[in-house]
Amino acid sequence: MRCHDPLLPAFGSAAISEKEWTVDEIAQLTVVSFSDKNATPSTAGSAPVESWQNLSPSPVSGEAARVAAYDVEVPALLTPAPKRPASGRYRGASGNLQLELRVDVDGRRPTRRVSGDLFRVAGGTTSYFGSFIIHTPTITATPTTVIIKGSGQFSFITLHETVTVTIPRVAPLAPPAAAQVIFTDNAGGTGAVYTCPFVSPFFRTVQYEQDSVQGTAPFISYNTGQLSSGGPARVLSVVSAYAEAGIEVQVAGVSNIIPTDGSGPDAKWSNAELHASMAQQFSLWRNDPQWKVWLLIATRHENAGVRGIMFDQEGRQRQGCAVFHDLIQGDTALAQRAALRTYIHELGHCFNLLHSWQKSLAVPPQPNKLDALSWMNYVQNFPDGEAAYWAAFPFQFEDSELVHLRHAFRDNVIMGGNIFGVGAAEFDAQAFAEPLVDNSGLKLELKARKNFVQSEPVVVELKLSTTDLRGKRVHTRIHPNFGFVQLAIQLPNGQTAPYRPLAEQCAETETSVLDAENPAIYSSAYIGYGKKGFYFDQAGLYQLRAVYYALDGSEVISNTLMLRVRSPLDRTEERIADLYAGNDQGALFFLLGSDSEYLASGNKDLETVVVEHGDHPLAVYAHLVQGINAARQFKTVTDDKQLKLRKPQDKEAIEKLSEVVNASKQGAGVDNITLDMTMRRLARAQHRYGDDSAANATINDITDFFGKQLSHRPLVARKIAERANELKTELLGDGAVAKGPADAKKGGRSSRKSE
Amino acid sequence: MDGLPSPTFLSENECMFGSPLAINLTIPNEPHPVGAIVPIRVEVRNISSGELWIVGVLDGSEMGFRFPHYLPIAIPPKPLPPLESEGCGNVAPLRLQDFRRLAPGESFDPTVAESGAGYLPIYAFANFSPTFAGRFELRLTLSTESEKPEDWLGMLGYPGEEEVLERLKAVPRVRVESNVAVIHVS
Repeated sequence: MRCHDPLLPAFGSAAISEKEWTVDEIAQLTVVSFSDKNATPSTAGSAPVESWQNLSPSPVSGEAARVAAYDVEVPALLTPAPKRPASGRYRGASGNLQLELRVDVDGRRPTRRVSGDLFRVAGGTTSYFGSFIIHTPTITATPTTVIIKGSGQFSFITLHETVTVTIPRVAPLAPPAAAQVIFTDNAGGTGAVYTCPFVSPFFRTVQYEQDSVQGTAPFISYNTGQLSSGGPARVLSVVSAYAEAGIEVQVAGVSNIIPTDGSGPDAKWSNAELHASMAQQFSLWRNDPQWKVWLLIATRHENAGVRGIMFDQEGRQRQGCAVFHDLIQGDTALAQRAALRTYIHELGHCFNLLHSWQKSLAVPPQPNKLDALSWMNYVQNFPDGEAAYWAAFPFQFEDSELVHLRHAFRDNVIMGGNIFGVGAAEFDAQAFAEPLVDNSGLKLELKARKNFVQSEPVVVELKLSTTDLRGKRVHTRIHPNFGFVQLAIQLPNGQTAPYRPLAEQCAETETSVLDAENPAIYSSAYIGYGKKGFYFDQAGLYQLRAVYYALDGSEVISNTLMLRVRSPLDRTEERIADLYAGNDQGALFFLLGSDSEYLASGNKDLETVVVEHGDHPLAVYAHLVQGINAARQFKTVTDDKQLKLRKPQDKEAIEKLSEVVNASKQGAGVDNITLDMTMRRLARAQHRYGDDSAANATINDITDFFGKQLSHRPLVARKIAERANELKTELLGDGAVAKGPADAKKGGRSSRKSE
Repeated sequence: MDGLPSPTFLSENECMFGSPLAINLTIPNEPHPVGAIVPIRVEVRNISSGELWIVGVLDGSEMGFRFPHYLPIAIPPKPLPPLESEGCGNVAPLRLQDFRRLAPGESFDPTVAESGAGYLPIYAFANFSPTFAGRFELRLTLSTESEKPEDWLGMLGYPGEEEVLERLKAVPRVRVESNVAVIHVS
């Protein structure tokens, strides 16, 4: 998918890059381009709707901008008296908390978002508390007021998730008005209220120190009209290029000229040397998160061909970068243009932006964009070639990068915040839904319950389906343990973590074809515990996304799954949560049980859950782990190196697994995929125990239950029934009565007669 | 590439006697008009008797500041304008899916990303479209010689580094020159 349509006339012209949007135009544009695509400008102009709800949240520089610039004439009735823009940065306090608010609903390339950072003041110290962002607010503009309201995504837990920002509209030359911010809960109860005076038209301010090695010359500026390219002609420097993105770059600190002996006699710089120089020469440097960044103009890197690098990947990262004069020097327009790109590009890494073709490496991953018209892309990677790139490149960051720079949670952007690549792209659940064109012919879906109790095992269902019914070959093993699917989890504190299974399984690549007959494969994965320990041990809202690495190299990104983990409600839940919370228990849930003496403590706690609270809904997981483990043989090596084999304990397995099945069929247990697996294990245990009639009934129950549960998905129900019949033949012989979803009702009754 | 090489090629693989890998450039044996893109296919083949692992073209490979190196050389009849390539040192991490296992005799295109590998085109070859007539020679050098992990791993921390370093041991350390692909542009 092209981020921009090069076929449009005057693409990248001032109409897009330089237009100053008013809130009124934004609201009007909403009506025309989204609310009613068939509406004419005149009918749209009379429409009273001024809502941004359910709209694409991309900044007004893509499709919306083009619609406005070329297709829509804003009706005269919507040209009210000029007002001062509402966008910018505001700051106020309430009690011991300070709020820095960013309003982004008009002006240049408005992203139609509101975000903020909260700081706690205690005595003489101020510390960062958390951030929030509203991706799709409702924007209401009247002649006197702008009201922006929406549900926020928070980096911390709060009941007051709805944010309402009210800004009086004043004349262009009048002093800017303060913004009032009210946080409310779902019932309308009012939480904190802030009055935030206007601070700056910029969303963020960074102090910039630039040092240079003796004998090098800093780049100053480049006029983008010197060579044919996209966007309006203008003079750009580091300061003005970032100003266009809404970021104020203040030249600060002491600019040093560094003698060449700092890099050794060969004048080549290693990353270690660059880092050491930063610590020594960056007068504003501290090993803490701060809006301060350093750029060194060095001679050349030790690796030939490197024009620039964000070398700071130790400790508090992303505070420094370097450009290499020997490669980027020159007075020609080509050299100046390339130098500008290198400076902006490397500083972009300091803001935690990844290369356009490496966005999938971010945590959480984002789609790669080889065709992005961005400072962060490579000319040579552009699919249509260098000439096409320059013809269209408007010397700016692309839309999602703009959202990241202006609104991402503070630690995802600030120098010295999250490590490079973590939170390196705005985690915008809805941004994936529409703008991404996916030609992979595949679709990956994540599904889970919406709510979990703290320490309750979190299980997600994965579904990989084809959207190309001519057939797509895929990996059969889509469980994250095999590596073809990876998951990222955004935690309630805003940090993100890749899910790393406790044990990754190396298996031969096994593939199958998805087509009309077999359109999807499913898997169920316990992801509560992995190499990093427990992932869902804090109460709050979590967001999950998965990526499937397809055989043709496509990266198929799932929907964003949101789930909430709540604190225990009573003492029983609290007790069970405690008993489930240990590392041993996490490993047992991952392994579905074990006899290992190293996990004895965990097994003991699971047994306590069963003994003390066996009837509690949360006990189903202890029953499951114990039942699955009892149903299998288990080999251990004794201290004297003897192999000891424990045979399946079928009586116990039947008892435990029956508990799981009964609870789950009543909707208070495990997910459907796990239930299917559990019922199959139960049937096998019953067969081994000599109770074939019970095994027969269990297998019939599989067909009956899922036939009803999945009546809206007959192909899946049929698949489950086929596998159940295969199991029946395997356990009970060819004479067993086969069942299918079509005859589930009539067959179910007769089968039970034989029990 | 299966079968015999095109007669327009001068195979130099025999110079690589002892190397477990061969690298071949293939160009259709047809007229190449001025200004038209010349499709250049790259193939790396395991010519040893045992299985081995190799890595395709990653960012930085073509510019020679990360391993494996895939260094293209074009010898035109007269000088070409320089390519305006970027060169940011923050190259992508080396991941397990970037490794390709080759059975004896098996080959692959190191510029085509499959199974999640982060392979990239070789920029100098991807849009090679000479703007004047004459005889052009193309060659590609593959080098896996570095034993230093930092020359391979890239600049972005990524999970599974231990596994990657273990897999890296199975990559043969070689320097291989391709055949010389000759293009007559008219």
